[in-house]
This record gives sequence, C-alpha cells and structure tokens, in this order.
Amino acid sequence: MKKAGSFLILIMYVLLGILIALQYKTTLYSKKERAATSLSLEKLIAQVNEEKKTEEELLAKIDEYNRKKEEYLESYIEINDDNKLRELWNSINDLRMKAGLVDVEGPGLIIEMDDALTRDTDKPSKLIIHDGDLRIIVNELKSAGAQAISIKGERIVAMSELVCAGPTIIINKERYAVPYVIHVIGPPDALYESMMKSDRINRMRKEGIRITITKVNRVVVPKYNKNLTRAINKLEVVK
Amino acid sequence: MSIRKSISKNVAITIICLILGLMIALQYRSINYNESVSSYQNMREEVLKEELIKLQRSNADLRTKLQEMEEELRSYQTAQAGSKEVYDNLQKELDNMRIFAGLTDVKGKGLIITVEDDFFTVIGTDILAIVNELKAAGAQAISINDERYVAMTEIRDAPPYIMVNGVQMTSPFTIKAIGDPEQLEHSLKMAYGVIEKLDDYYKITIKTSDEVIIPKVRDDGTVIKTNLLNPVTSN
Repeated sequence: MKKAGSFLILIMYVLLGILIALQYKTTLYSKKERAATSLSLEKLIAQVNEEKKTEEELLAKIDEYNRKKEEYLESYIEINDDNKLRELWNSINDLRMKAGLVDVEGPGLIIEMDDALTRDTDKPSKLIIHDGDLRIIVNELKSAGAQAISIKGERIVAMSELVCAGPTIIINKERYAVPYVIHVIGPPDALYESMMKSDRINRMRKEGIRITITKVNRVVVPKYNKNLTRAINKLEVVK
Repeated sequence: MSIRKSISKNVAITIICLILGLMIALQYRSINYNESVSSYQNMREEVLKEELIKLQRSNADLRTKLQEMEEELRSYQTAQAGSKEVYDNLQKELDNMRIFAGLTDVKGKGLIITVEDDFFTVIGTDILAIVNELKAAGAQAISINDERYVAMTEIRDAPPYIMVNGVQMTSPFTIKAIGDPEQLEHSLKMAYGVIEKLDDYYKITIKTSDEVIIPKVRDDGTVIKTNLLNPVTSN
C-alpha cells in the first residue's frame, strides 16, 4: 500500500514537471512567433500600400501622357493640315467608345447587392452572392439593351470573366468582395423592368440578399484600364 | 498507519489529480489556440504576398507602357510634316482597338467545342457558363455559332431558340475560342468543372486546333450601340 502510494506520487510529479516545461515552452514560442509574424505582416502591409501608391502615380502619369498626346497630335494635324491623319485620328476617337476605352456617362441604373443579414438557415450558401448570380444578372442587363456596364469600377469588356474565389469574385483578373455595385448605361425603363422580372433577382431577394435598384439620369462607367496589347497578343488578323 | 493519516493522504492525491487534470486541459487549449492564431496569420500573409506580387507585376507593366508612351510623345514632338512614323503609330493603335472591340476577323491556336441536345435541350445559362470558363482561362476571342462574343453580347433563352447578338440559333452549338489550347481545355475539363457537370445532360465534344478562325461582329449599330453613351468630360 505504501509502495503503491509513493509510486503514484512519483508519476504525478513527473507529469507535473513535463507539463510545466511544456507550458513554459509554448508561451515562449507563441510570444516569439507572434512577434515575428506580426513584424512580417506589418512589413507586407506597408509594401502593399507602397505599391498601391506607385500604381496611382503611374496611372495618373499615363492619363497625363494621353492628354499630351492628344494635344500634340491635334496641333500636329492642324499645323500640317494633314487630312489623312485627321481622318485616322477621328476614327480612333470613335472607336474608343465602341471598344470601352473611354469613361462614359449616360442614363441607366445603379444596382447594389450585398449578402443576406440573417444567419438563420440550413443552407448558408444561399445567403451569399455567387459569381453565377452576377453572370446571369449582367447577361440580363445586356439582353435588355445595356450599352456599357461596370462592376466595382471594372468595365465589362468582351473577355471579362466573373469567377468566384472563396468569398470574393474575380473580375478582369482583380479580386472584389461585397457589396457589388453595378453601373449600367442603357434605356432605364427597359433595364429596370428586366431586373424586376428577373427570376434570379427575385429568388435572391427571397433568400434575404439585399438588392437595391435605382434608375438614374446620369451614371458613370469607367474605361477598361488594363493592358490592351496583352489582351490581344494571341490574335492574328485574318487578311 | 492511522485511518486519519490515510484519509488525508487520499485527499491530497485527489487534489493533486484535479490540479493536474486542469493543467492538462489548459495546456491543450493553449496549444490549439496558438495553432489557430498562427494559421490565420499565415493565411493573411499568403493573401498579402499574392497581392504584393500582383501589384509589382502590374506596376512593372505600367512602367513599360509609360516608357513606350514617352517615346511616342517624343516622336510627335519632333515629327516632320507628313511623317510616316506618326501615321503608322496611329494606324497600329486603330488596328489594335478594332481587334479588341471584335471588329476584325481573327485567327490563332485554340479550342472548338460543340454542345448538342441530348437528354436535355441546351439552355443559354450553360453556354454562358462555358464561355465564362473560357474567358477565365485566358481566351482572347470567342464566338458562338460564328457570332463573335463582344462586350455587350447577350446569350438569351427564347425557346425553342437561344439568341446571341440578336440572332436565333438552335442545337448544335459550336463555341470557338482563341487562347492557349492546353490551358483552355484543362480548365473546362478539370474535376467538378463545367464540362463534368454538363456532360450528363448534353453531348459535348472538345477539340484543340492550331488555327481557329473567329469572325468579326457585324457593325451595323445593332450589336455595338453607343447612342446613349457620352464621354465623361468632367468628374
């Protein structure tokens, strides 16, 4: 009895010793780890912000160069009274509109969509907006006569994709999260009616997804701002 | 040994056991917590790293573009009357914009997909899903039964037809795409991908080709409409 008792106590002491050592190590480790990761996280965030600032500066510069180019060209055409070139320049400006390469405004709709507030369901996937929803809605807007569309400021061009990536959606290779704001220029009544009749929108609303649709006299749709040459580098003109 | 001594000893052991149990539980929890915290931080780090790389890449692109523009500007400044260089520059720009807008017949390597009624009649939403997958996989031009898919192209169900660019079509549907054939095919055929889903309903064939020809969109103002668009002059 006495032997068994002291054996038990021995085991307990050993266990206690191991536990204390372990606890000490985890605390130390987690402190070190947290310090290290938060340091590298901060560094990363700073770097990302830096690159974003650079991007803005570069884009502003490109805009400035574009304005300069217009000036130079127009004065060149004026001074030399070059009709051939004038014609070419005019067709470029017309084509910009058709290609989605200029900021445009006009009458249309602003549609805002956000995930449902409620969490009271057995099918949580129905509470969020999916890439398929956006595809169908954009396609319905096109059917109803849309002339220009942007989602979260990304101009929808021929090869614009709408793909889900976890809780976000990728548009023109950029990642966006809710709320999704769609700007569309087109006949406001026809667009509005098509949204009201849309089975998809009605179903989403029934699940609690928040959708507001507003007719407006003026909505701005920004230009496509990605690299144009890269977007067509695999295409060869058929003569 | 007296009874009292043995009782007090038992009590002591019980208490020590209790403390030990508590400590083990605590330890377990703190390890778990540490793991979840560090995995969250790792995830955030991954996302940030990805974003950083993308930004660096796109900024490098912008710098190249800026350099090109600088050269172009210089050429306008120094150009003589009737300069061929200025003319060629603008012609190139015009040609590129026409290709981008879908106003030029184009060819290149790519994929030809046919989708045909089988157990079910093909619906527009499924064509749209295939087209979207091709775009995500880097397609640069797409047509459906030779109707070029442009920015405002609709794929609308109007039974028994599907309307594309306002043109009625019925099964079979031939979707052509120009892009990296392997990448396009892989992304369509991947597990749980769009073809695996649709294969049960329709008859689908996929063929890679070294020369896919995609015609231009008709330019009579019925597909590409701009009458409601005004250039933004001021913000």
